Amino acid sequence: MKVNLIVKNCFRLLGTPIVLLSILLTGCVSQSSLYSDPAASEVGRNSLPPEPQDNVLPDARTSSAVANLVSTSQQHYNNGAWDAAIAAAERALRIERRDPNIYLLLAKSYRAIGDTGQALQFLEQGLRYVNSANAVTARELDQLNTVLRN
Amino acid sequence: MPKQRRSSKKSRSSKKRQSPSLWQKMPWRLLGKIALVMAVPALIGVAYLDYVVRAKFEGKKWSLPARVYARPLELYAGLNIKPEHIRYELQALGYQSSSNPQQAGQYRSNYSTIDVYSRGFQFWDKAEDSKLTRIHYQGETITALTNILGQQLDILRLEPQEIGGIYPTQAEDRLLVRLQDIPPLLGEALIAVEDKNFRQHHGISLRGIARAMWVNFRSGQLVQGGSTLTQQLVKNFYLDQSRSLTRKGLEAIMALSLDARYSKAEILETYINEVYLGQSGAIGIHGFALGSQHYFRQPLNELKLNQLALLVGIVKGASYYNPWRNPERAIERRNIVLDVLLDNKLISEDEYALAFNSSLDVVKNPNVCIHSYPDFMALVKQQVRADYAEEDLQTEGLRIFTTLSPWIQKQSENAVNARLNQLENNYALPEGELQSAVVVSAVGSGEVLAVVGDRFQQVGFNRALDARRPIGSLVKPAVYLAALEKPETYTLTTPVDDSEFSLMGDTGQLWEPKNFSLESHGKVPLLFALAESYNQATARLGVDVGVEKVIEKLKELGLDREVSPLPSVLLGAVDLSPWQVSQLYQTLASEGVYTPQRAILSVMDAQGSPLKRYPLRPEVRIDPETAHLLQFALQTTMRQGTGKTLYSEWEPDWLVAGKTGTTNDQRDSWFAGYSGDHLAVVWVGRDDNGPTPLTGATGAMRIWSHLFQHVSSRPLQPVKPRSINYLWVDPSTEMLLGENCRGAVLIPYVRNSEPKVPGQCDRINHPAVHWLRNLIDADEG
Repeated sequence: MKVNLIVKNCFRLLGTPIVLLSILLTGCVSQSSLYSDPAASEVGRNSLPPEPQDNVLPDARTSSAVANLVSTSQQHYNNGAWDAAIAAAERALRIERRDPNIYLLLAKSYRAIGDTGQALQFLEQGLRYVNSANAVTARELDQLNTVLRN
Repeated sequence: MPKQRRSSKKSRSSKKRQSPSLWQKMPWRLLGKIALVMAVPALIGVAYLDYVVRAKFEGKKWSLPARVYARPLELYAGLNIKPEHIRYELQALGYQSSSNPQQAGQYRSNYSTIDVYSRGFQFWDKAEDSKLTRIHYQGETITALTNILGQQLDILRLEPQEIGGIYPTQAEDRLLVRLQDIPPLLGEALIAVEDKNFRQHHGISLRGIARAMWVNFRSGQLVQGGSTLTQQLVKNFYLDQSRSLTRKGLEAIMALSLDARYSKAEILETYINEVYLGQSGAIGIHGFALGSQHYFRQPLNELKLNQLALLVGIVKGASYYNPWRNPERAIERRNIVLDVLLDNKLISEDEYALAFNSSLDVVKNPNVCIHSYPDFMALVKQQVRADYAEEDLQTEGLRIFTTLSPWIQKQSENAVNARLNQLENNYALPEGELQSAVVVSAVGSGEVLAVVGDRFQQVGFNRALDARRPIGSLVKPAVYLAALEKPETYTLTTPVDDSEFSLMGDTGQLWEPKNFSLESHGKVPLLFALAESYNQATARLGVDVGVEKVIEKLKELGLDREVSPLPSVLLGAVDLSPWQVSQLYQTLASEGVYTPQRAILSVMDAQGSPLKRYPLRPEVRIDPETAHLLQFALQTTMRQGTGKTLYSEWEPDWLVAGKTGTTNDQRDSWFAGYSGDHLAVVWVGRDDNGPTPLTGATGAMRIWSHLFQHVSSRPLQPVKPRSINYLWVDPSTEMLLGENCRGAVLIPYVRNSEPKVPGQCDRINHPAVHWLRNLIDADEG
């Protein structure tokens, strides 16, 4: 009962300003375009490509396969088997090519075998794909990037 | 007494003269001398033959061709893959459908699951075990993988398909198999059928010859040959096929030598790997392991009794008993073998009956053999010859692992076939006039998944790698890249002039490019100049930016050849192959990261030890902001520009990016397009370079569309770089608007290059309605 009363009163309060506002705004003049191209003439509809989401997360469905390979790669890395770590990481990339964790592993492995140039390439690429979901990886990528460039 | 002696002498000599024996007649002394003289070279000869026997047996016995494999199919939860694709791969690997998979090489397909008993394989990085896995799927997505205990499995990697080999000109092929891996029955069967006394004799068997003559005489047909297995081995392994007496003599000596030096087991193993069992085009099939693949598309250890018996029977004469050409003879021969096996108690009555009543069980089409990807193989050979000498490739038995996807290859070939036929029909062109080439690769890794070089899949001119054609409008992204790299000067909404354009060249020649529609459009936003592929605007823009700059961009994208800096380059007067075009668009598809396209992943030696890996080596070449803007423009091409008819066959939210290309007189129809996973470049044209009625959109793009409808490919999911802002603007005036304003579109800008001036908003919806709508949309989203 109480809720209904509140809602009713809200409408009463706001109703008038809204009506006034509408009257004001309906009198706007339209601006015609200088270039009548197909996109602009689509009334109200933007048929250009949509704005991408801020966080392009790896596809959650494939994450267990990727996690498995990343973990394998990490194990190889910890054991000093750099080539095997790289091979496993490449397999992971085939499934999800924008997971920054994979790029970090590749950068670390290439650094370990002395190929700093290639390590930096992977770092640069990995940094493109970081977002709020992988802040830790982002920091590691940044740190390694700084270290290798100096 | 001298008289008496004389008479006795006389009598002795007269005795001799009366009866000389044959033995006495022989000039033994002479023969003895000759024998002594001949003995030395004879001994040397025998010693030499002995050496030959040993050298080949112990040295590298055979020249083994390199074997080439497709990429292995990797399955995991979340993968988009059609169940028919999985079944196709299993069948291509020779897996047998079974109601209850009990051993490797079997599978069972149900409504929403596929059970696979995989064979296992030694990969570069690790060995995959043979195991039973259940693939759960829903629609076209795998939902889970479980083992027999119901536990989740993360990834299942099937063994790779063999797709071809690199052969020496003598063209023999074999798969080596060791005695311990040979089904025991095979050895016993060979002995029983071909050489019953194998274990007892010393290389040649007089008893064997006699018995064979008797058996053949009795049965009235050629059942047994008189040669031992050892002799047959010598004949095939060391000698040629001539049947002269000298050859037979040599054969006998060498057989004795072989038998003296090596065990029966070793001889049998070599025989099983050597014997000629058939022909696949120009390639001779040697050895039972390859014979098993050739006739049944299955490994030797998976063969059933009737199949094994057929193979043993074929030893007698692969051509004569060819099961496809002479099935009645083949079955008869197989049954004779079964008879022998039964007589020798090697099989039971029941087994005999089952096998006897079975069909031949050979694969239907002998021509769909292991050698059926000529265009892709041409690419593999090109890439592998850079690192390995020809001789090693042909003789060392290397194992080459490639990036080919047999499914995508098949779909590409089908798409070319179907659509070219359709186009020829629709435009009333002579049948077979159009040709095509396709290169498909994986976005990001640059791995080449399919190559089609000829509409008819003939071995010959590989248009994908070797045809050089002007690329026309496909070059335009390089022009716009050069412009967009300078956001202070060019944004997607910067007006470019599409009025008539002419340029006086250094040689006094006038260059006057025209739009395809022959219409001019005045000032247009840069975005639409690319999306609509306006020649005049692009030429003007290209000259402003500089031809050298554009060529620099082409090199960054991966162009591997020199280009003269002529203005006509701006509109694609550059001859490239589909392969080269694919490299350029690879870099665009990976948001500006260049990765050299590759067909080979790794090489192992004949024993399975890793030799060389070809790793991923990307290079960041274009900054992400510029790449993002260009990708936006290429998406616009598909949504509104020259490629928009694609969406008549697709859902609007399946995002793709692409570029059409049409050259002068429509001699070349090009399309380069990519989704989230795959890039494909398609060319359509005539071999005689004649004009066609096709444009990039009506020709090549149709093939692209058909292909992608049959390949599970995720849509494009662009990443927004941090320094890119999307703003609502009026593209023609570059003024800021809002979402709810008429004529407003959402355009990306590099930070600090955004328009600053607000325009007047002609509202489409009442603000309240607009606000409510957004609220509802957000809820639904």
